[in-house]
Amino acid sequence: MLDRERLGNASFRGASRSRKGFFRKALLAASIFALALPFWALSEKPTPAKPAEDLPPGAMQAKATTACLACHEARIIVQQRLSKAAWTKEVDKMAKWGAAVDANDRDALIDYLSTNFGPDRPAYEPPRTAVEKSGSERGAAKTSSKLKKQSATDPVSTHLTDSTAALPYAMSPN
Amino acid sequence: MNSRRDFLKQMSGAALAIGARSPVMAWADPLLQEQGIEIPGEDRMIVRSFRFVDLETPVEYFNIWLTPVNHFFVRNHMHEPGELSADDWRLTVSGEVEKQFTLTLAEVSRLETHTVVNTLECAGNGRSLHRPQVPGIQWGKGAVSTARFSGPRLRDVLQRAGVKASGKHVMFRGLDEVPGKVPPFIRSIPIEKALDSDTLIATHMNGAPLTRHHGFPARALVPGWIGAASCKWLTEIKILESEFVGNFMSPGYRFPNQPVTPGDAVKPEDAHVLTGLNVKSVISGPSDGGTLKSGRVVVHGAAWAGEADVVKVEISTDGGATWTPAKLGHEQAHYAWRLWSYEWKAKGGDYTILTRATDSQGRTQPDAPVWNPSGYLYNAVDQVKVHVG
Repeated sequence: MLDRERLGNASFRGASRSRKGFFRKALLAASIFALALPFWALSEKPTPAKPAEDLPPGAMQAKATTACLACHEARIIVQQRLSKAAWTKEVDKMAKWGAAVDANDRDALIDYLSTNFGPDRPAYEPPRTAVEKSGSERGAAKTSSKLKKQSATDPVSTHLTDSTAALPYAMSPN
Repeated sequence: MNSRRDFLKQMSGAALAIGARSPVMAWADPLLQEQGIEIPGEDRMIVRSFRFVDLETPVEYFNIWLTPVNHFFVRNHMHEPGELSADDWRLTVSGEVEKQFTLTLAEVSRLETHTVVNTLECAGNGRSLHRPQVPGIQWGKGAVSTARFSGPRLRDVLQRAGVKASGKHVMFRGLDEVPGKVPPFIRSIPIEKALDSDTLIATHMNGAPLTRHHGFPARALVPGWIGAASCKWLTEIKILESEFVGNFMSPGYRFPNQPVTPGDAVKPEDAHVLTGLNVKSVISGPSDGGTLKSGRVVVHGAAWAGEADVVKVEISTDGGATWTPAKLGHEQAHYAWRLWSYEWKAKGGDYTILTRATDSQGRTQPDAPVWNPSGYLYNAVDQVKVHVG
């Protein structure tokens, strides 16, 4: 994702630097851009973020899925970056709280989790919720304009265009 | 099974947003590169967990004093109640009281209403920033938001029940659906805080009835305290002689009495129950990692201090060598954050912008976080790195 972004930006920057041969460069940039994009980005329906994550492949994937995902989704696991000692505590706590972990599988499950989600792994990048649909957006806009009427809430306008605003120290809390 | 039913319900309620924007536009805006997960009533929130629902407010939304409900962070310890009917909901008040009783929502809504603007923050906010990392929801900086909460005072309800002299703590139980053998989410607060005139049985948020994610039809609102004190989907209030004994009082939500080294075991008796929030400021803009044009740059954000008042927010653009006060926003309320801003004349170069708040109790944000095994109360000096071109 990041690579694609960098490549795309670099291409456009390259194209804008020189007016000479602009169209040729633009065409080249567009081709690189198109090649760099996976097919879904050009289709009408981009791949949506998955509501629930999956656990990574491995010998314990199926058993971990059964044991852990009955109560919560994989994202709660996938975002952790823990040592083996910390994973051991978590697995034992969850087994006590009802996770179906066979005693024979405990050590393998701890290994699976600490191998995949150890402290040295890069941070998990969480998705966002969707932009709220128009109906709700109208509601939100209404709420926020109402709030603005009640009290100026934009920090920039509140703080920087109001010349009567005293220094914070001079303002007594009320 | 509750969890499975809830799962299916959430899945069916989570149709995915597709085709709303052109693919090229989606590519141009990093936030829209991947279509978001649709959760009704939530707008561009960071999904820490979908099942159960834990949503973080992006710091760029810390630019408005009252957080709109669709941008207000959501913290659930377990599954939200499957069935919520305003007609069937009941609130019981029992324990160390002269007269126990049960209220309907209609009865609650007839009680005198009080309003409190409160900054609600999860005790685990900032957990992902601790090193070494600790288990739990890996919150960034946004498990905090501010709203105008209203509803009857808890005190009025307790006085109607007549608290006996033996009643020292007030227990809240919510309707959270408990998966497996997980201990139920029950906590208590001391009677003094329960009788405070600002502690509410909140039914409204920013003037509208609570939404499901925020505890419809009623929640406790314990202002200035960690979010976990403000039990959602409140259904039972019980007056106890002593602090409630349960996982979410101990070992959960406890903070070591003495500094600890990672790896040290902390006994519950060497830790205390978390109550009020500490002092903290967070930068809302410019964004971390951003590139800015030289000239006038407005650095802005929010600062809060639980039961204390923020008295000062300072900014450093030279790595902490010198600090300059930011201007505090006009809008203020005892338990609410203050917005702040600072006009910076930026020259070309790479900068780390730092911010630190000081409160009316004389507390100041520390340079380094205070590490603890559950990653609570992260409040180190905040920072963003920017490039000025």
